[in-house]
Amino acid sequence: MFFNSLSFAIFLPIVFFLYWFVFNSSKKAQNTLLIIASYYFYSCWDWRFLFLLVFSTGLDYFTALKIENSRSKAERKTWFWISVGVNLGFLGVFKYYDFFAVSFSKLIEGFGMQANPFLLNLVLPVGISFYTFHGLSYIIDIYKERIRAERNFIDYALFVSYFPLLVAGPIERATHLLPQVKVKRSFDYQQAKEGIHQILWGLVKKIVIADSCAQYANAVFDNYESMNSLSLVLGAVYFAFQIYGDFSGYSDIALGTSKLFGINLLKNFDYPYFSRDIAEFWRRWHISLSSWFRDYLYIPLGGSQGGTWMKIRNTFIIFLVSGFWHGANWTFLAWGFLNALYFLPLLLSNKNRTHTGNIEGVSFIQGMKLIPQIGLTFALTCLAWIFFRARTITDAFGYIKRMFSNWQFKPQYFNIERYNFELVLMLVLFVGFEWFNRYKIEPISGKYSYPKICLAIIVLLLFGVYSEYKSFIYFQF
Amino acid sequence: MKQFLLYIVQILVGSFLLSYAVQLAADSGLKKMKNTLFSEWNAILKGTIDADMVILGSSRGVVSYDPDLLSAASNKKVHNLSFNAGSYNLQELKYSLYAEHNKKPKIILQNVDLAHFTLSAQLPEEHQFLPYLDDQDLKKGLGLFDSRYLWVDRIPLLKYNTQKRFLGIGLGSFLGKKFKNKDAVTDGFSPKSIAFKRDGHNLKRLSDPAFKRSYEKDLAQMKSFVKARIKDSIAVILVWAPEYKERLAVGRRLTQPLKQALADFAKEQKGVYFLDMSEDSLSQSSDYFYDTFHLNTKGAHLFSATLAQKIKDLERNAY
Repeated sequence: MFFNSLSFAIFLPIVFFLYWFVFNSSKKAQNTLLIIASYYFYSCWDWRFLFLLVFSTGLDYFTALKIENSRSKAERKTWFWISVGVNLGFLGVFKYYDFFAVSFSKLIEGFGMQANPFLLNLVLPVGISFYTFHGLSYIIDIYKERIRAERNFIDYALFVSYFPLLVAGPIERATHLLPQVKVKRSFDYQQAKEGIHQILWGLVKKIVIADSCAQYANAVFDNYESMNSLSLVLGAVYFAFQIYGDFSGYSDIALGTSKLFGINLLKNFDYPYFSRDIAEFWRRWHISLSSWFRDYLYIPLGGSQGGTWMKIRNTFIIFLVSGFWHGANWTFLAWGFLNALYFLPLLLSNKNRTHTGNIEGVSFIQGMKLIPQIGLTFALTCLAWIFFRARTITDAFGYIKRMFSNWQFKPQYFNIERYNFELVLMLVLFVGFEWFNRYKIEPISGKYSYPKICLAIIVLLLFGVYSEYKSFIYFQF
Repeated sequence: MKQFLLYIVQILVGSFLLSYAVQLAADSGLKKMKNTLFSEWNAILKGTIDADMVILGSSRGVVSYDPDLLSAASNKKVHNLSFNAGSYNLQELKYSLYAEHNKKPKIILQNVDLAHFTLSAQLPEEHQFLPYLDDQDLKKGLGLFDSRYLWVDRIPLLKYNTQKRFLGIGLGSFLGKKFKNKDAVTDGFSPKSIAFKRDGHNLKRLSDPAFKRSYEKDLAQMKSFVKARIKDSIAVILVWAPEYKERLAVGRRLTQPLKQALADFAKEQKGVYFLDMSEDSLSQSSDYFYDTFHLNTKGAHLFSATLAQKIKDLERNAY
């Protein structure tokens, strides 16, 4: 059940009405309904993986209590590592086993030996990377004594499997979400209204921007060998908007949906393509994952407290792990590596926190300075996205090589509807709309929200891609 | 909560009304465009044609049969109902919609050729239906090809999602803008003044010995359609319009048995006539064609004049 599907359009109002009109008597009733709805939502993909989700939830709930009640440090440690090991073990088996088996056999073959790897060929349970990280953050926080273990299983189960964030985040923290599920929610008109705005804007990003761009980006990436420089540049740009529209659109729908139930989720995107350097980009893109890696990996590794080499090492570690988190493919590792390389000059010159605030009122002179900064950051990001999107490392290098060697700029594929300049114009308008509303959570709220909503609905009806049903990219992670 | 539900209703009603207003403007803009496929459907669905003789066919029907010439020669009101890129099932659909809203004709001129006997699985030039999707009969008919047509008009503007260009054209026309119409349609006839271009790919396909087709099922379908018209006391004249000599040569092994079957059918069925004009003198020169299958404007006029004469002769001798 995708957020952009008819079944979700039926599911959401039903749960909403049951939540506020039938199960609104107590926090327990509200949470019970949300758990049932979440498990139903998850089972719509593959009911068999529901057992995995329930097991993972039960394990973390149980081990957290064990950690907290341990009498000795060694016992605490044992329970901690059991939980971490089992969580990462599931992730490893489902997501990474085949990759390592194939890579290892290739390595052996490189030495002239015969290898016949045993592959599991398992279907990746949807959302496993996300709910595993939920559980891990909770266990780590308990182990580090930052929070108390949750005694109420329903509350904890809801924290892990709350349907708006279950399959593609945002990756929540117990410190943020648990206190909200532990109290009875009462209806807040403003919050619900914001939720509707956010859902609507998320749908525009996904169905109009991402899915329109996907058609062109797919055509270019799948046939890059016959494309000229202009098409390859546009292909990378279209993919940049596809993944942004897709993932931030998903996050908006998730956050908006959650607001309808009186629960605020962590912000996941903050207009990342208006970043002035790569460091700022990573503070604005997939914020819940970046901050997860910062808090649970970078800082424990020593962060930027040590010497230069430690900073470099830690930076590379988090970007490589982040790349690998996205998928078991060398392309994701290369994407992470490239981003670490981009980050390095800023880190070494201590300029990685130069741009931390919003871009305030821009004068002409400031604009002249901003455009190349934002443009360069966007260009670097697009270059990295090529690795993210390409099927193999060879394809990614082939794509880049052809982009910088072909030097032909005649429009290709532009005679087909959707591939023509209408899409470029649509993106320009989209960027403009986001730019002038960059201080807000989403551009629909505020002044003239009513006409903006009507316009968004008309845009959805007219420019939405409904012919080819498309999943969300991040569901595969 | 009440306030929120009211807000949702406001959003839905507001967006619906706005979308509906935009759609209404675009629809009426398209409907008022003269000499287009839209004006054709207007006339069909409003029942303002009431022709004595109608022409059915696919693209060859559209570009070859001049109702004016046929009308002048026969003293009958003639209208071309041909369906560009549509074979017999689409032609039948268009005819049934015509018959539903207009007076039944006395004569049907049915263009026949190889393309006629190939079932259309998809709807060509779908934009032509845009402003008429509220017509239940049309909707039902189109629903046989694409079930989307059964519900798409219930959500305003959604029907323009895959035809955005026509939303712009419709709104422009609504606001009084005139559009250049290079494919003007008059009484269903849309001649093409295009220089001859050899469609080698079609000839290659036809000349390939591996290219075989059985027309039995499609022929039976056509026969039942014709018989139903005969029951309605409508005479049916099957006409095989001229084809360029190169195509005639490569297609003979496929067309010959079909022509024979049509001639036999005409012989055995009262009220059915078959005029094989495929090898008319026009077929000898590319001056009359824009490809090996389609007559150009000059060819269409000459062919229509000859056909008018033949129909006159037929009328004199047969009925």
